[in-house]
Amino acid sequence: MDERQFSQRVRACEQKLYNTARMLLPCQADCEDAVQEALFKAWARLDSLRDTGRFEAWLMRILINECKMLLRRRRAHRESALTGAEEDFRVPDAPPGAEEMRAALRALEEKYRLPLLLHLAEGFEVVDVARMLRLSRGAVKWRIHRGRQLLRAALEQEVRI
Amino acid sequence: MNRKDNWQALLMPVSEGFHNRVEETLEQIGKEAKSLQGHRKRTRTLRSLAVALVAALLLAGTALAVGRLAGILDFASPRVEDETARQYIEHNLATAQNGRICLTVREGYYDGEVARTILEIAPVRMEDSIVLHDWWHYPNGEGFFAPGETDWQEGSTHSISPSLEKAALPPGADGAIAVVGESKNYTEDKAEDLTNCRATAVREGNAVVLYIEGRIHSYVGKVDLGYSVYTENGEAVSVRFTLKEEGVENVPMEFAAVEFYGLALQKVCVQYTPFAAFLQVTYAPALSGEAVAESGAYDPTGIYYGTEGGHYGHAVPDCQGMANATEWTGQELLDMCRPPCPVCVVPDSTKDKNSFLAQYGWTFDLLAADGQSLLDADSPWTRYNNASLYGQPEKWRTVSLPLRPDASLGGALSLEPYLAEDDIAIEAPRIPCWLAETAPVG
Repeated sequence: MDERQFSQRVRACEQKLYNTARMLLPCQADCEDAVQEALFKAWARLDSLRDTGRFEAWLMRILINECKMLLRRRRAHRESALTGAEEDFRVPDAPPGAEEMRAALRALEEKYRLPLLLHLAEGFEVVDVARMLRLSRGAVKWRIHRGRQLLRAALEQEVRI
Repeated sequence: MNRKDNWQALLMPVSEGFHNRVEETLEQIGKEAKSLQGHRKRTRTLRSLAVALVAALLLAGTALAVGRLAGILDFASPRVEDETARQYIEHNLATAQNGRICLTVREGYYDGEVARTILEIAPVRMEDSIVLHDWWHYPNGEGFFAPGETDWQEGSTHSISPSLEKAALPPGADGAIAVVGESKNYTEDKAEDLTNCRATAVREGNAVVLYIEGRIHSYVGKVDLGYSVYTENGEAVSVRFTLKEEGVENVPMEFAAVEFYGLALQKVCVQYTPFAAFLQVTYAPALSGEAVAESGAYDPTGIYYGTEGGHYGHAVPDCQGMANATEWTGQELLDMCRPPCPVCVVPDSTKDKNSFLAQYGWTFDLLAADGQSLLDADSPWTRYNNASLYGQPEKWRTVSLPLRPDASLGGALSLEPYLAEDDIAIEAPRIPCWLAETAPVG
């Protein structure tokens, strides 16, 4: 994969990168920092990608690691990025119920939130989600199942999932 | 709107700032790529030749392997020193059968951190064939289990639907016996189903062979393990066996005596095994002032005990044989940020593996002189970095962290402590450390 192809593939999955980063990091600036670091690292380690068909999942894993490292650094230095007011996630013209569902999803623990987003919203296969999150496939499936139960309970059947 | 649309409606459009940052980054990558193109061409040519050579050797090795039964080294990760590992791998550790299934632990190796086994599940009757049953069925009937997927070369996890597997049964096979399995860690009195272990399955005729890895840090130099396999009608067959820790070399590290109220280091070393290298840090866990206060373990007006050089605050003056204790109030202990003794101060309800002590554990990063992490973020064991409490001395605990296969441990290094629990922020200084002697190349 050359630089041009790399850039094309990145642009093609930009929305998935954005949504994953937003699910992990509460502020836009952190998401931008994380994706920048992730792209540089992905480019530097491109030779380690054996199956270019899995580029998206591979890049997503790098981004998830960057987001978590950034969170850890923020907490270690008592920065207020996590305790300050979270930026608004409202999207104009969102379909009915989407805002409530998005809020309920964000309220879930990360271990349920991420697999739900990656598999059901962003369309990654369970095997790829397992690789991204370094879980077994059984564990991913269980967390998706449990996450949906918790989401349903939180939405109190108002939004049909 | 169908269900898929509902989920996709959750996706937010990309913000302008994010998009701009992506574009700026790609532009910078493009510039770097152009300036390095000359260098990379030469490097890539050499690398391609090396890859082709390795691939040829692997194919030759695979050809030799045809007809040979699968072993631990067939599933090994890149680091493995085959000849060293081979001498420690035990064979034919246990076998058991009922009228339908025969279980055999063909190989096993434990390096103090990861237990690796080869489990063969074979039918007793030659007309039968074993299939693995994926039991993750959802109540609403949606099937999320993966279709049949076996990749011997990559060793991917094998999760199959019985109906699909039946179509691939060996010729002459009469019936399919669908099985589920469970691993049992008797050392820690813990059981988990095999979908949560790292397991790779391959077919050998009408049998299925599982390569199973389990992360177990034992303080007693061995682990007692078992596997149980159940058919759909509940018939079970079980095996139990012991693996002793073998093939381990510990190289101590020295570290600076950095004063830090929240943490007391006892020992730092690098543990080399044929399969991996681990950084091991033994420490006494401690808590931030906020965490101690929030725990509610101390009554600020109550009287507690401890010694000047000690670590904990105690509810009784003779806890664990302590002598010459000084009296302090709870408020004084809170001000000193002394963690409460897990034996005499922690309430009974929390005296178990999920105790107050376990909840506030430290973990570490190992940094090279340039600040780069030497830990293997890609290791499947990275997230299991807090060692089991089983059998360990009361005060100290050990974390084992996988090192990168290419980690260079010469020169000045540093440990960066951080709390394993996400919701407690605490400043922790980096602790300089270095190898006490020349270490073998990892």
